Amino acid sequence: MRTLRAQATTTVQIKEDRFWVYRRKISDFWRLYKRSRLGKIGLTIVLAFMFIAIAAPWIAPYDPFSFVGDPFLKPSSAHVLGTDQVGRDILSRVIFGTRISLLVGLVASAMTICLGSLIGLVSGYLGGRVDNLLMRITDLFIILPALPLMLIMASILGKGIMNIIIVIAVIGWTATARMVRSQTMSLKERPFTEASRAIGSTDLHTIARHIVPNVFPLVFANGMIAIVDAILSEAGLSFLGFGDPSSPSWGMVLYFADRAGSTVNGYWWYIVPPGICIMLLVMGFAFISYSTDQILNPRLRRR
Amino acid sequence: MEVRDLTTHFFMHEAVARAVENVSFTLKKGETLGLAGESGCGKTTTALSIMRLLPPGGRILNGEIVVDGEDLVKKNDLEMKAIRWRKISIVFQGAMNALNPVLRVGEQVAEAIVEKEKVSKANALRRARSLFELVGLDSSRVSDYPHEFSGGMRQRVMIAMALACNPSIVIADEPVTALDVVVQSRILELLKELQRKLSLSVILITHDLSVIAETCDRVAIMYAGRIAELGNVVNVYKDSWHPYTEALITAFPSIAGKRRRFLSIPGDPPDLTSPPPGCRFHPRCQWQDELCRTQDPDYRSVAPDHYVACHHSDKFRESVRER
Amino acid sequence: MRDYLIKRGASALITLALAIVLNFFLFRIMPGDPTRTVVGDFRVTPEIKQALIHQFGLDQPLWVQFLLYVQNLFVGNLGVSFQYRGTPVASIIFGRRLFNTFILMGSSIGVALIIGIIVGTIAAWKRESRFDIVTVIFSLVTYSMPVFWLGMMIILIFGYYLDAIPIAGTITVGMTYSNVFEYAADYLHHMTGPFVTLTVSFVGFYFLIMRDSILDVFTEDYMLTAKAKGLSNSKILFRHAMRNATLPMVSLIAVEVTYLFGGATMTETVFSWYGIGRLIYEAVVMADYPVLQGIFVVMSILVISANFCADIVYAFLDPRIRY
Repeated sequence: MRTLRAQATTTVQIKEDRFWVYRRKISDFWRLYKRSRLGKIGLTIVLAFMFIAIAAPWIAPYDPFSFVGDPFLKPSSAHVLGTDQVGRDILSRVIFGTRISLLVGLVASAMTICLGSLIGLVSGYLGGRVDNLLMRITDLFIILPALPLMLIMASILGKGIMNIIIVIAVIGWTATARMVRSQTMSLKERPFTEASRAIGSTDLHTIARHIVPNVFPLVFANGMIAIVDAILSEAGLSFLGFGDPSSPSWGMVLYFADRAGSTVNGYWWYIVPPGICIMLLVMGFAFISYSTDQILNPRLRRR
Repeated sequence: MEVRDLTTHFFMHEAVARAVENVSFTLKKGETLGLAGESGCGKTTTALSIMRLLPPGGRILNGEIVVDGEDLVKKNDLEMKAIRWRKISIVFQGAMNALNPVLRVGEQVAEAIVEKEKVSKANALRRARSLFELVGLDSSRVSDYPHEFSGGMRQRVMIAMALACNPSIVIADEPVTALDVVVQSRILELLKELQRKLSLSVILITHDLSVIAETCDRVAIMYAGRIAELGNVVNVYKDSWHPYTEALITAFPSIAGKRRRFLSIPGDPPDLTSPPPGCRFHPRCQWQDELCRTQDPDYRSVAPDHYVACHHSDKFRESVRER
Repeated sequence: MRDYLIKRGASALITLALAIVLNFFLFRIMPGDPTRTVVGDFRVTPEIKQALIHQFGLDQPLWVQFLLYVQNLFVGNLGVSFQYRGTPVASIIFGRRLFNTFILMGSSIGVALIIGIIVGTIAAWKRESRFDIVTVIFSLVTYSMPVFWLGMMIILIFGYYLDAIPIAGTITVGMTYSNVFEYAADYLHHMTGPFVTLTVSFVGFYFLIMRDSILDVFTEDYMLTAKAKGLSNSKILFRHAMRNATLPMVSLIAVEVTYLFGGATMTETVFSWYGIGRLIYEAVVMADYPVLQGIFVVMSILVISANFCADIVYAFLDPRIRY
């Protein structure tokens, strides 16, 4: 009985120790991160947009879907960014657009990362024929022109937010897959992996306990880039008319702006704000990615 | 060359590493001076300070390095560029990465000549070829790439390169550490021969005391950024004045003589961002006392051309003699 | 090196084969009547319809269709377009459109590469200086801009407000030219907008990669050797660092080729530039599957050959592979 209890307490002790190790790693990371000016700016920008997205119904002056004024009104105190071609307030549409753009960006990139990591892990760990096959498929997806493929898929699947997310995820997983695979393969050769298998851990256990925690930091940094790609892809798809007209993302607003002939008529208030928003949000994530990369990538730290 | 009170610190984000402090020594013409010590004791930093090649964050805070009547510490970047390779050159360890993998070795040897002596590339390559022969390499290999050479041959290339502009001083930083023993001895032979032929003055940096014994005339034992003992090789080895020197030498296993257990020095080298007060070796020294813990020992001469930095070298030598 | 190229070439061919297979099946799984993929909803005479069905074997089992498809592919028969009433796809693609896209993309990629590489190198050298910070931020900003939005802004500012560039098209509609130069001038005038858009869009990425690569190279030992030799800064930077830094860039750029097509599509659509990118857009909107399929094949071939060329260039640049 005593030994059992001793065993139980030791297990709890180990679990607690692991918790503290992770906590320390995170606080170390945060300490280094705070030092990076770009990192802080990026984080601020992203948090600001998240706040806007959440608080949209309270911040936006009008309902983005209703017709609240005459069409093509120039900016005024009533409509800070004017109205679009059917009389909707542009500022409200831009504010609400934050929600869609962020949502698509985060969800699509999450799916991309998951899919890519899964394929990369399996491919890198199992090696051999499985690896060959998966890599050939990955190569194919890399070769195929991304945007045309996305357009075709979008036109097949039809309009809708979820479809756009699926399209982006299905096309974009290759970069993550490759990276995770090469990391996995190099980790597989390391002594601790051999040790883990030598004591009889199942493959799944080895992957989960040893490989995943070591791959995670790079995946995180890569994830930021995936978010950037997802946001830009969504904007591009929407702009070309394959987006969801009922959910006004920034790209969609620009689509309507283009349809209204804003460039030839000089409606700068219609064109500039959504574009700047996309740019800023992307920049925010790009800055975070840059700073995270500097910290997590050991080669960069040497510099 | 005369080095006086050289002090170099590394300024990092959170702390300052006091890598080298008050290091003084003289390099006589035609001699080989060894710089020995454990990893991290400041040998390479000293070499980089002399060449003014410190990485960002490293700064020479104090001291003079006098060569041909000029103080190198006071030189600006442009002046140092002129001095590098012409007066002093350096051979790095692990020539694996020290040679540029995308350029032919002959070009790498010749480019210094072309740049500094304004000769044509053809002439420089000719010189490179003769340098290759000097170091025992086939001169036709000047058009090969670094990855086509073995470790020992790459080191020869590095040596040939270091001699390209006829320097008077050559610093060799761990020149044979990465090589296997047989190749090691050949390279050391080569160095000795070259030094003789070209009347070079050499500073040989290594942690391997046997290499020092084979090649050096005098040796400086460094510890934690300072010189513990400096003198003629035979004297320092056989008749040490500093406890650390003796510990180092006895730690070295010897094939000859009685079999005995490994004697290592207890403890670890200090963290250079916060070195121990007083004598830096005191935590690991059996003769340490209150004085050692509070006061830095002076670097003083105890015999002609033999210097020691220790408070109790007399006591220590007494106990050695008793043994 | 020969083995390397053969291996790479074989790999490229296999990928090409797979791409063709994928291409075929991708369009066969489109929803709707299978004859749609070849004939579409467009009104063609029953004779033409029958001829096409026969030509593409739509009344035969799938694998026969595939063989017919490949056979047609080899003779350059890519089917006929819907929206252009039966014009052979091959003539649509391989005509003015391809030329226009090539000129536009070729020039902007070229210029962006040159600027990116040179400025990236200098920024890495002057790390943390004002030049570095400004260029890095500029690159991050342009990298974050959606390409089409940048195009719209350029049209807005330079087309609408400054009236400096034309808003759409490759040449002014309805104009006559007295000689080639006038034509070229008009053409280039129209190309300014999309050219600037694409170049600005690409340059940030190339800059950041090059800067990253050079900073990586700076940590290598041979850079210290180059500095130790007292070479001039430009020699160190361009001869030693850049040569090594461009190696990883070559492979990275090859992978990015597909994104270049995406950028071209957007830009051509915004500026109504008569090229392949815009053709893709039109074809998707009009559900002109034969054209799309044809473009896919052409693009796959282009990307695969671009990758293969990159492999060749890499082999050339890196002597470790060459020998």
